[in-house]
Amino acid sequence: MLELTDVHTYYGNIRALRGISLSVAPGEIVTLIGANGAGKTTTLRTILGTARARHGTVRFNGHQLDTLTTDRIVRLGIAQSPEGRRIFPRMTVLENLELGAFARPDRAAIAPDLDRVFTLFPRLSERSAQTGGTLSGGEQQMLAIGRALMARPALLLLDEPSMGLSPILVDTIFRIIQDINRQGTTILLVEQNARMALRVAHRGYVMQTGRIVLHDAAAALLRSDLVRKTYLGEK
Amino acid sequence: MAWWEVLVQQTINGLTRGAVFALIALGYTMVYGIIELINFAHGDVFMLGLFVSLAWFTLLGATQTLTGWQLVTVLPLVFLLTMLTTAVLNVAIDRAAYRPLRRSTRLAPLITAIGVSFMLENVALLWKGPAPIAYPDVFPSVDILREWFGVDSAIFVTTKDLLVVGATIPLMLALHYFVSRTTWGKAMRATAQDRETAEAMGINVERTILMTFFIGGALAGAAGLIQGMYYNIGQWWMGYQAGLRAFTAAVLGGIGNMAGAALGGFFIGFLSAWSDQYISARWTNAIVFAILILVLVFRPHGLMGERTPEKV
Amino acid sequence: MTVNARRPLGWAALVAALVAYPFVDRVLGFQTVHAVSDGMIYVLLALGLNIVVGYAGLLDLGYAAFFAIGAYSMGLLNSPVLGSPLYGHAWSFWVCIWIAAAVSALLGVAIGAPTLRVRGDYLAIITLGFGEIIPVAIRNLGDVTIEIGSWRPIERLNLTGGENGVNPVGRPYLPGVPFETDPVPWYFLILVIGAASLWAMNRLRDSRLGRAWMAIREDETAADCMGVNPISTKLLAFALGASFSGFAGSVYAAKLQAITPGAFEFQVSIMLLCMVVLGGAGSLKGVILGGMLITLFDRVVLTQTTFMVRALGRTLGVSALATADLTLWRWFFFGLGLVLVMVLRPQGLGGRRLSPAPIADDAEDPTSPDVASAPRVDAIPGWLRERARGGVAASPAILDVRGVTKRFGGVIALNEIDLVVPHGAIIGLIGPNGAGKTTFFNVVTGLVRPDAGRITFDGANLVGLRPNAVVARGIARTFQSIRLFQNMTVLENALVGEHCRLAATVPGAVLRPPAVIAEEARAHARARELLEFVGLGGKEHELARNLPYGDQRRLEIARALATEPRLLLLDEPSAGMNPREAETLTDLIGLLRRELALSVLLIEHHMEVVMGISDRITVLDYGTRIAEGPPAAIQRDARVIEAYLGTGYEQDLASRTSAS
Repeated sequence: MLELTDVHTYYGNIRALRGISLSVAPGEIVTLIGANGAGKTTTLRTILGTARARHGTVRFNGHQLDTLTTDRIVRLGIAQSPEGRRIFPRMTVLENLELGAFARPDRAAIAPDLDRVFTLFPRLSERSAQTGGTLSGGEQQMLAIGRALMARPALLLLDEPSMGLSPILVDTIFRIIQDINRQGTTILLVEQNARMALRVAHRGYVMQTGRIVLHDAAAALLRSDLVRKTYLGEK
Repeated sequence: MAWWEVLVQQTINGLTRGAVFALIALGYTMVYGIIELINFAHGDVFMLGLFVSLAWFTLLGATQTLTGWQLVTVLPLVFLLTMLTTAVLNVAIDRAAYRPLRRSTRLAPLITAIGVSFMLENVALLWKGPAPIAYPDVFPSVDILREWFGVDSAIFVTTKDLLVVGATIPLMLALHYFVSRTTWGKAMRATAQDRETAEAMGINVERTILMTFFIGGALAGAAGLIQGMYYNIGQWWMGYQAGLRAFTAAVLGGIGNMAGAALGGFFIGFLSAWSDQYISARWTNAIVFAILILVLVFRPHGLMGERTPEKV
Repeated sequence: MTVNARRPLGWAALVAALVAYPFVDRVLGFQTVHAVSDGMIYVLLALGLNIVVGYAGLLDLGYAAFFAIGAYSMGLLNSPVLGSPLYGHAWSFWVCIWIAAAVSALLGVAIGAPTLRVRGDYLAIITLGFGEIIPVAIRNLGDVTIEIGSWRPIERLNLTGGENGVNPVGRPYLPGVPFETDPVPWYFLILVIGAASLWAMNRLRDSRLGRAWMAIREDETAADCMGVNPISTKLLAFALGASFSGFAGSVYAAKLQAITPGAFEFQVSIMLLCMVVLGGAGSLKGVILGGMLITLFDRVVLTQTTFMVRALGRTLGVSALATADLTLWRWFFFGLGLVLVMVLRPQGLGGRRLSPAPIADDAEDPTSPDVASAPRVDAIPGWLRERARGGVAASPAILDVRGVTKRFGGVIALNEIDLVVPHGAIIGLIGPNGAGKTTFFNVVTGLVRPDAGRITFDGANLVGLRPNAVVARGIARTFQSIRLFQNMTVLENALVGEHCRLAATVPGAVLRPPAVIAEEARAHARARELLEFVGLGGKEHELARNLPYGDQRRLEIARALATEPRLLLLDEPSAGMNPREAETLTDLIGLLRRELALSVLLIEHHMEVVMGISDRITVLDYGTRIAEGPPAAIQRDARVIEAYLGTGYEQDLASRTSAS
């Protein structure tokens, strides 16, 4: 479904990605783990076209993404819940969700999807008239994910959904991620919380300084020495 | 005139002035909201709006006071044509002078904006000459209190005052509806709040910016037309003055805040009218600028704007 | 400098040409000296504006106001119009020119002081506002009457000459020099003032003050965190920029013999800005070139081209061309010039190239293999060692934070955090992203003011201090996302770090007494040693932005060390590094503590780094401190494991493995 081949991305003179190749198959949850600065977010930005690959190709369902503008890429069925949530702070919860559906041609199918999001996140339904900036961190995270779901994406990119959340909320969010996946959405998940991510994912890629250093089934990665030592803090 | 009559008269003057400032201020605040640019040339688009509207009137052969059916055909047509012209001009300015600098420092497009402002003024100067031009009295002027109500008062309210309010308020309501209710209006607000995320929603940001300049230009054109019909005079340098006052209005309302810009426009209108009367017209500019400076220094988010912490 | 043996010759030729010019002009009968002198006044103004716009990066749209203040100071002090007692004395001009410069500088400070906290584009509009107010005030203060009812406390008071301006203005006096009749002495007067100004500006640029301006221009927050006081630095730029316009205004008033408010309108400010932008903001040569080109264009090219176009029109019989007047297009061309320069060549004619340098196309950062070898003890700069010994402990802990709380809107970023750094300790600060670690750094370094809590550094309170004051006390930091001064060289970056340890003032920077020369030499030597120590030797003159990632991280550490800290705050220094680089970094931090007794507070995600090096670790989660203790205990702490790894992990893993 999604295939990155030897992708190099730069910020000015700094090489953030040094030849990334990865693939995501329909129905999967694939996770990217690695330390801050390893290039996880840059990988997502390159897929979405908000950062541009200097070499390499990004293909999605037969389309070559690296030549398309971001709004075209979104229209192909990719949506993102960005790092740091990036809620539109002066718009209501409802407006935020509507914007998630901005690029959809099937206007009629939006209402049922709104119901679906409100079923997944009842809190959002209670606060639909409140502006995004007044929500708590956890509610904002729900809104960010809900907003991405409103695009009814084939592929959902989740960037650090656990960031800044209390442990209980993190559990809730990860359960919902699994629910979304079971309902048929393919997910590429970037997480610093490696264990949580590997717990819900089918496969995982480990990134280090702009490269993929390890790639395996999630359960296997959980047992790998490198992952246990570097990312799980075990001796 | 009794003192209260003077006050009422100046307040009415302030209202009509303020309506024009408000229309210009909306263009400033929309553009600033979306690309954080003080579009210095915006005042000159207003000025050209006046000149262009005059050209359209002339082209349509309507250089006398309009009567009867002309008021409902020619006048709306000129509004439309003028707004369209300045809207396209504003978009062209963005494409040529600002768009190439989207990813550069904040000050670079401000400098080009000043450059564009000078070019527009010079074009107007060469087109119409340095002397004030007479704008024909196309809109019928009737002394309302005396002729409609038979009240003999020193206060002078004319149909032109009604025109200003009657043209400005619907434009503002339409803009409000567009921004708060329509999909593209929401896209515009989203782009103003977080450009990259808006892009990730599938919003074509460049098209949104284009739309912003289009609407801002149209409003400035309408303001120019209204100004011409009301004061019957136009000068090549008037855009600079009006632009700075309108920008002050936008700052007062909290730049980026549309309702604030409209209110700020009326406030500056009242203030300048009162200052002309009670202090001295010679000092009005200095007073407006002093307010601009004070607000920027002490309340940079405007008198009604909210504070947003800057991210480190 | 031996390579450039032709340079003195070039200078001699230039000086000879400048001196000979008016005499050649007279012999050939060109009569251009007058116009050239006027042009030079504007070039001098552009140079003053360049300090504000080019060095400090503050867009000033009302610089003509300072020009006006300079001219009016001279005019009012040295004119009979308002009955100044100074008028008529032989030496008045020479006294007044200094007063005018001082008045301009003072007004620069007065205008700048309240406004400089404002962000860049707002500041530009404020300067524009002042630029508008000053001519209005000059016009209206020529005839002031205050009338309250029938009481007139002030009637027809003339403070400025009003619309009529000031006329005449006293000329300079030198025995035997005909300032009254001949333009040549004026030329030389302006030439001397201009040359002296240029000399002073050149020296200022290469001083600690010039580096501070450029640091502010590049990244105000980072400069503040490296010990540069942004407010006083900007004020100084404003004051000095204004003082040069004071000189220019004085000469202008005396030369023209009459000043009117119309000569100081917005257009003048913009023409000066054109000169700076066209020439290249920040480049002295560029600004001179820009000033000359624009003056030439304005005075010669437009009129000459008009003649040519008209001649062409006459021969072709095109009446539109025959009567064309290109001088009317003047402001159109200036506007077009601004747009074209910004779009096509934003660095101007003489500025540094701003486009990215080509990237070395190798797989690895070229330097990392060498530098990855462990840092050497003997490479530690001796002065740093001495400096570290100098500290006297006033309290048991170097940093003591109690109950610090910070809210952003509804989100509690820090909730009653306690943290102690003992002298010479390395304390790790860990926690998931978004836990509040960087906010904690921002609170300690003064970037963010806490809502509650105490912070003491070596016994003294830190709450309420600006970041640059915190640096001066001895706390330095690095940033999570690298914040170097991108368009300054590696050496300059390190030198900015030393800013708060250097003392040169404006007279010192310009006159360079032996103490200042010694101080600069020492600063350069120290910076080079530090760069050598972190592994950047030989790259001193590269622009920071052109360094590879690992080098940028190292330069941040060198810059922080240059502030001579006793406590170093490192925000994820190993982010984006491979394990080998991270290991080198661990060695470096250990070395700093062992050899220099430097205390370190370290935010880190690489568990190997933080567990291996820290004496104690504090764990934040969700804005709250959830654990504190030695690394071994932290690794076993149930709450930490939960925060990092999530609850119910073991069961879940078990169920999954059995299912698959």
